[in-house]
Amino acid sequence: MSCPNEITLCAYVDGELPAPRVRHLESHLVTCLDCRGRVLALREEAALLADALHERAPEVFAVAPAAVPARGLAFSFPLAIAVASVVLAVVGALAEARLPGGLGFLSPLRLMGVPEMLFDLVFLLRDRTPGLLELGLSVAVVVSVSALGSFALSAVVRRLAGTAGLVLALLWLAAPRPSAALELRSDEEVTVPAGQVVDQTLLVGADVVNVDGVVRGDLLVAAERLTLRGTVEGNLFFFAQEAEITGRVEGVVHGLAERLRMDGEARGLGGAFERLVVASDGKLERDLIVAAESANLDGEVGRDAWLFGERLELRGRVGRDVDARAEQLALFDGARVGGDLDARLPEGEEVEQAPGARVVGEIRVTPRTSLHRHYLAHWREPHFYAFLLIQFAASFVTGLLLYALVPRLFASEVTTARAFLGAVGWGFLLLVGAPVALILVALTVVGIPVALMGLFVYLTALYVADILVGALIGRSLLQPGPRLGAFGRALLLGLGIVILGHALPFIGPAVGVVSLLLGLGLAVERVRSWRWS
Amino acid sequence: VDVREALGVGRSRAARPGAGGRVIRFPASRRQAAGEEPSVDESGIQALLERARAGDEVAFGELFRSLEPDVHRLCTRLLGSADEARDATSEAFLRARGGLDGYDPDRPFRRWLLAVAAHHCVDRLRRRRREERLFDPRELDASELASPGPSPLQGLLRAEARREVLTAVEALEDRHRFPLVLRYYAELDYTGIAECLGVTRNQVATLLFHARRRLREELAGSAASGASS
Repeated sequence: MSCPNEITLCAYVDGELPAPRVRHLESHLVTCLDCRGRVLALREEAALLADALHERAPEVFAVAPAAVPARGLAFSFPLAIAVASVVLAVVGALAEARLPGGLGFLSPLRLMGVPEMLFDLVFLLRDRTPGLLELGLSVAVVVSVSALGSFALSAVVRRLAGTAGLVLALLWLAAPRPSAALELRSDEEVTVPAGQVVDQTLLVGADVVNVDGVVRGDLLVAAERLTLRGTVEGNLFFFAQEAEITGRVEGVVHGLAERLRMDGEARGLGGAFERLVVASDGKLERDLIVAAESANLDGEVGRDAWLFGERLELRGRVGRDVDARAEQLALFDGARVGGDLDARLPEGEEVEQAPGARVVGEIRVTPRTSLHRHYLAHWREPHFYAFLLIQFAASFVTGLLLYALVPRLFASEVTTARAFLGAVGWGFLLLVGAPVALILVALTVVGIPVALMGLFVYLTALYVADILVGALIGRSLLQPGPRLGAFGRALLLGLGIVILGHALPFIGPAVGVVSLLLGLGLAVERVRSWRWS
Repeated sequence: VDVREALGVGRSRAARPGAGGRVIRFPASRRQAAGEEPSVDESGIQALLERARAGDEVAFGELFRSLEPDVHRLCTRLLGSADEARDATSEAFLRARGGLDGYDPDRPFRRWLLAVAAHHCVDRLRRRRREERLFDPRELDASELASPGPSPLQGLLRAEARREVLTAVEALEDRHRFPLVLRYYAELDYTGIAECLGVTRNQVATLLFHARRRLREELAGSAASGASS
């Protein structure tokens, strides 16, 4: 008889051949060495298949998606970059142009009135509808904290630790905290009277805050009006419409305010203000780093001063260098700079220097370069390439790590232009909405730590956005399998494209904006699709 | 009989413990080797079943817990997506609870349950694809059957090789993957597979033949590309 075909042999191995044919076949097998070999091979294959199919696939990669069609990205991405380029070009032109007075508000460099409006809006909401604001905030806080917590917890537990990790995490959550290290106060008006000593870090949220006593820890304040006449032994963080410091801060002052008047002493000062006055009695032991619409520096800065703003006036003393980027810079009688003065001013503008003002080192005035020349200049500097490489490597490693921990994060698919637009829209909402929400949260007392945490998450999201976009592009081009190696190759390619795209002259910033918006949108979409199973 | 013993071929896996020189491990030992909790044994399952049929929800819950990993894995292998597999698993259990009366206690419960789940997955696939003749094998031409094709997979017993095989199975088309998984994971016989896929027994043999060939080609291809890179 001739040898049976593979189907027959397979059926025989599977025990599915009818009895008469089995007898027939077996009599053949007795004499045919080839067929015996084939039966053995098929049997081994069957065993291997059964073995492989019973294998526990690594859960980590089983949920990751394999492939993304590239169509949606191929059309939408260049279009979005073109739109963003146009927008950025208009904004850039407005920033460079000296607009006539009536149109001055169009310039993105002029923030006059915006902080005021923001404060007014927030405090109006607080005054008129206190219940609504508070209710909304507490709901938002509870939801976001619990969402974040469960997300992190389940990711860690599932990927890394199993039950032991869950128990540890719960123990950690349940462990008693040194609750005495923090004091919260909330009222319409909060006063720490002279002679009173607060032994710990103090968090205050109120309309009016007066501190005449002593705070031994840090002081964190969100208020309409802050007056500090006493002493803070730690650092001072504040968010206020108007702030006046006549007392002493032994740490550094960080602030965000419409107006700040600094009459007292501090180790250093950093922040952003619409109007900043360091009065003649004001003294900073070390550095001053501020962005201010207008800044008057009449007091003393021990070391360096970095100033960004529109009009800067210097009447006091700076121990070392002054680095200023402004529209106008004026040095009046009595001003003294111990080191160099570096000024970046618009072309044709000079430092106004009174005869009595003295600069010990050099005065260097650099005309502010045009944005376009600036882009091209990048490409001639070697450290620019080094930075790109570092950025690339860091993003890549972070991306791989994220994939190993939370592969679901990379499961986004953008298949249509509509989905692309949706993602960019969500990204825009998050980009703009999150800071506003954080400021609102910071206004409530419990809100300050939550706002700081939220800020951290927000910054993380900004960083991860590019990685998500890189992974999406890489996946759509390479269509990798779910394994880490394949994903790594796709990520390498995609991130390379994104980061090089950022560095391109002229359209680079537009690529950056689109990638940021898209990445944030992908993150939002991922969080929204998270199943609470 | 000597030949059969020598080749280790038999009607069912359980019927040939230790046959021949090469022993195929049983599914139970495989599961233990994979580090899973051993599931409830068949007698325990039968006891639970008695109670479940009498309407004991707790017993059915126990059954669910002990067999859920097996069913979930089947659904994952068949459907490819973990999310969809999760849904399919719970729906398959619902279906099994509704159909407990149709279960023949003389047959292993696990296999019956896997068959129910497989049916459900095929239904899902049909809904997804809306194609009538999903598993109709194309006609075999004689030349294809006669051509030697890639030889059967052998000697690939390392863990990575198993992963590779698994990845290759996942990459197969539905009409090739389903018969393979039903045969070698759910351990359905040809009649069971035929019922499940809505084809004849002979067509099952043909589908399996094609599937194994495609799989070998796939692995030969990936091995070649792996070696060249």
